[in-house]
Amino acid sequence: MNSAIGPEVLDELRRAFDAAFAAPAVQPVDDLATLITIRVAGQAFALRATEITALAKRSRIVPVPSRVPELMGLAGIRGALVPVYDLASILGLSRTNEPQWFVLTQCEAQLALAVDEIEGLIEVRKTNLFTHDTFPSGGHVRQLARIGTDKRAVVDITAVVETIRQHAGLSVPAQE
Amino acid sequence: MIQEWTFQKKVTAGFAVMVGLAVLTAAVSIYAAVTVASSMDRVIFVQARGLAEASRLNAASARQVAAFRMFLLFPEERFLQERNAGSQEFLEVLGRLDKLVITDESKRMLAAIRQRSAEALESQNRTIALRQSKGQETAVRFDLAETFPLRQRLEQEATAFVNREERLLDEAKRESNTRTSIVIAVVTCLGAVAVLFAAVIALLLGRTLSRQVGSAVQHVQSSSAELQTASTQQATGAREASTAMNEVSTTMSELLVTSRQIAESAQQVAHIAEETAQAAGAGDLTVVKTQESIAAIRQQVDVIVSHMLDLGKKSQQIGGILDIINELAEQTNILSINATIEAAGAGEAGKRFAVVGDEIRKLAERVASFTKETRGLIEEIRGAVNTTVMATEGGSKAVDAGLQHFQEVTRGFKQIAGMVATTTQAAREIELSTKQQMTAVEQVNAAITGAAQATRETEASSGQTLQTATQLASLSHELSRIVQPQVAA
Repeated sequence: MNSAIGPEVLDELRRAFDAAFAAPAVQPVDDLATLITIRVAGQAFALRATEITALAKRSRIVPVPSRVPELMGLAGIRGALVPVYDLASILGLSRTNEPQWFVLTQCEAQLALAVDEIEGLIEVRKTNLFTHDTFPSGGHVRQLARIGTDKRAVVDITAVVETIRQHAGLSVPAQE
Repeated sequence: MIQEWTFQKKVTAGFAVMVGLAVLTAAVSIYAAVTVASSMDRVIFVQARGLAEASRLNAASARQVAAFRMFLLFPEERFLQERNAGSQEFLEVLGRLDKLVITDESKRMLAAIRQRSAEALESQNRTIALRQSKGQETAVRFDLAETFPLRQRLEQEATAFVNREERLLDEAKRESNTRTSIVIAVVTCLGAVAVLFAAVIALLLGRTLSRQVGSAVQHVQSSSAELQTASTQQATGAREASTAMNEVSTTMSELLVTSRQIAESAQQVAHIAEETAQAAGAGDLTVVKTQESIAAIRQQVDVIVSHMLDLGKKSQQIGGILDIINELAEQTNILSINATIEAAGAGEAGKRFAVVGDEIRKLAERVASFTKETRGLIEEIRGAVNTTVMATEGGSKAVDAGLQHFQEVTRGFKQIAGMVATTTQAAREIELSTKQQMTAVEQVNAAITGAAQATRETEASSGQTLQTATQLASLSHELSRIVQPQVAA
């Protein structure tokens, strides 16, 4: 039996909770970038917290006809009907599991990107973010974040939204 | 068919034939002797006597004629009486001849002689009368003229009769000699035939009997050889049987000792079986008590299983509560992330709020981590409970099986008790049977001792038989050598 949890563990947990209120205020650090780590089609990605508006647990998706192939349907999120797009399809990946989370973002209107898993929130120094244009994602990944010894692709939500807009005919692709 | 006759029959038949031949020879001889005797009698008593009577007839005639002539010479009375006596004698002889002769010719000749004699006697009477009346001369002349011719004729006829009788006597003699010769020849031939036949029969009988006796002797010789072989085998077998009977007798003695030991063992087994029956009864009582204890254990196990099932249900409920806590932690985590996002979107004003959100997020992560660990513990508890329940159910089943086994043990004890009772009864019966068997074995032992004695006697008898067979073989060989030397050689 795992003996990691005992009365002392509960006491430690209680002290940490109390210490969080008793500790002095921590000053924010400016050279940190907040990333939301996710998994799409079995691969690890990261999103900039400044490019999204919220995370939501997956709710029922109602399919609707659309000329945008990445559109999965409409879902009720926080009292509003929001179109849900499959991020794996946008990134050119083959979906293996049903997405369980919605990542809400904002362009002209609010939309949701369906991802498989929300791993958590991490903060990395901006010096650990570096440009990488050759990542095979259809131009939706332009940076990699070094987390410890691993490297994780940072999905550019702006580019994703632009792609959706182009597929919806709301904008013309820029000439290379 | 003759070959199938017995020895006695053949000998009897041969002797019968011999006796028949002897009887035939004797009969023929007797017949011949009688015939010869008859012929001789006829010669002697008829022909010879006739011839003698004929001679007497001549003598009487001569006496009568002589007396008549003397009377003529001397006419005296005594000559006349002599002449009459001669006449009388002549007639008497003539009468006897009439009785003797058998042929018609002789009878006719006698009748003629009688007639001529009567005429001559009448003429003599007249001559005598003349002699007496007229004298000698007249009488002589008359005699010469009348009587003499008659007398000559009478003498001639008498002579002819005598000659005839002599001739008949010669013929009778010749006939008698001929018959005698024939009889001698016939008897000789019969004797020769009889001798020849007897020789043939003797030869045939000899050969036949020799062959039969030889064959029989050979059979006897072969049989005696076989008997000798059989006697040898019998003697060997009797010797082996005697040895075997001795061994069997020894074995039976050992068997008798063993039977006594078995009887004692059976008695001990019966005693032990009774003690076992008592122990089985006590064991049965113990088993019943144990069965009650096992039933109580089973009830306790059922209570334990019920409690463990309750514990499993409670653990499941705790798991449900942990799911809620985990979900709350995840939602708190998401809320804190969303707060961080909102703070990030708020710019400079939200930085301090972001710190709080980060603290909340970390706390939520730690709660989620501990919840996960707690879930692991709860899962372990549930697994342990399930294992315990399964083990308890297994124990319950084991208890059931044990109970069933104890029931079987109980039944087994009852069966053991019954079987022990049966064993006791069987042991007693075995004891009784063994005693009876021991008695029977004693009787058999006595019988086998007698049989061994008889076997030894048989062995001795076989030896005697073998000796007798050997003597018989030697005797048959000797007999064969006597009867058929060429075969025996």
